[in-house]
Amino acid sequence: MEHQLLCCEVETIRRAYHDANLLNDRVLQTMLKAEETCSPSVSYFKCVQKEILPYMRKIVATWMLEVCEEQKCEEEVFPLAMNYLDRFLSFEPLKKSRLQLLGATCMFVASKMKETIPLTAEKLCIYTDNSIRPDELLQMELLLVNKLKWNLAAMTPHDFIEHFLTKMPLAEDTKQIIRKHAQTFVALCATDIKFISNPPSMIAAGSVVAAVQGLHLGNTNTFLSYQCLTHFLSQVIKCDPDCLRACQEQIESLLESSLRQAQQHNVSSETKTVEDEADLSCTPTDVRDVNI
Amino acid sequence: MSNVRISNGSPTLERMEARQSEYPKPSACRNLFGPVNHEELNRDLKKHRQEMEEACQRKWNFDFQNHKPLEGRYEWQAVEKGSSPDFYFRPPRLLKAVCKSAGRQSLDVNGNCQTVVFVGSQGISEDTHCVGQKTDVSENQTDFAEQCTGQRKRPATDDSSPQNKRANTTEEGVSKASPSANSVEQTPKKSTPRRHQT
Repeated sequence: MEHQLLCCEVETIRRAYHDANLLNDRVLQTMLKAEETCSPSVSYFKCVQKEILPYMRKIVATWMLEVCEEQKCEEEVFPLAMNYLDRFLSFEPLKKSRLQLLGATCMFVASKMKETIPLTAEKLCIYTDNSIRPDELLQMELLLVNKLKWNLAAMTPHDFIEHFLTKMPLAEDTKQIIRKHAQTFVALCATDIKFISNPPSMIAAGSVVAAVQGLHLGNTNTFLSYQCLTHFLSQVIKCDPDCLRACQEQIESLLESSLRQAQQHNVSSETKTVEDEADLSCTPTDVRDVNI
Repeated sequence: MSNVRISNGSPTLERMEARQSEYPKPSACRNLFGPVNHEELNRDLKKHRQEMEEACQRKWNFDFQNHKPLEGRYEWQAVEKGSSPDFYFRPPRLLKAVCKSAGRQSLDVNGNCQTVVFVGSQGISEDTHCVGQKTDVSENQTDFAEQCTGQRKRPATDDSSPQNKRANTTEEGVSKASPSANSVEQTPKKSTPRRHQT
């Protein structure tokens, strides 16, 4: 019943235009300061968690991303949810069997923060194969927001990407394609523990550089040439250009290894069911798109 | 590049459309780390909730269970009906979409979710000024309870949160006094307040 109801109401998502007044330097400076306050501890696996290991974060992150994609969540929901997850785990030791509950709760809250029509508790529980119950998720929500001290409006790399693009003298369609590719990198980074020590601004800048590189946009546009762009972005986020380059290279190698895995997965699953195959055929991993 | 599937089994989607209303795809529905011990989980969650309640009680010197002010830095005072912004009393707009999890209200009904009007705290920004306001209790503004039930606001949960930005009432100001019959019949209408408060 309620699903039907939702279905009728939701024809298209309405979004506000970017507010030019919020894409100025003053706001950017504030964001650069603010991003530090909502950053997770880098060493929580060593210092806080007893049962949870880095590979488990990857498993839960991959699942979360899958759910976000399938539910067509706004792009920021996933990185924001990962920020909550890491911050929670920075304070609270958690049992392994509850990690998925935490992941679901983080998506639940992040979705409320970023979406007009947020994910429901019930739906998220279904995604855990009903291993958790909605009332548990709601209780967990309370615990989560409490542990995060209600600091829920954490910066995501997406927030920074908009600022970068605003400052870049490019045509709108070029921006659009950079944005889209950079966002993919951002999501990729959020799944990987190596990037936990990088602030969102760095992830954003690294992703933009990697996107521009991957798209070979630097060949035709001098502003987008590697040197020029890394110099420009490192000044915008006030970091050393070498750090930015390191981050971008890390992103590229992560992409490469993810692609390899995805390919393997494709091969192995093609031999499986027909159902799978049908699914894959419409969404192939397009390796040709990638130039490393 | 953006056609890359980052997660296995996830299609690349253009996220420009509205959310799909279909049921989740079976492949994404999976239990990652084995069965959850619900009994234990609920026990732990309850323990956490109690801790939060206590912290809250200490912070605001208010007994949320019994809706009684306690001794402490804040002085509590009942509000006149109509003296707080209409914002706190308006019924929520989006009942159906929001209140999906209405099933959980039981929790709302029992002590914790009963929100109280923080009258006294209106002018007090949480951490900073603890100027004693007037006095009195906010014991029973049952009349409020009436209008206040539906809020989508999360009541006083700020407790542990040291954000004094939203100095006053924003979060804490909901009301609903005693768990009277009155409130019981309204709870079903409550939309979101899923157990905030605690």
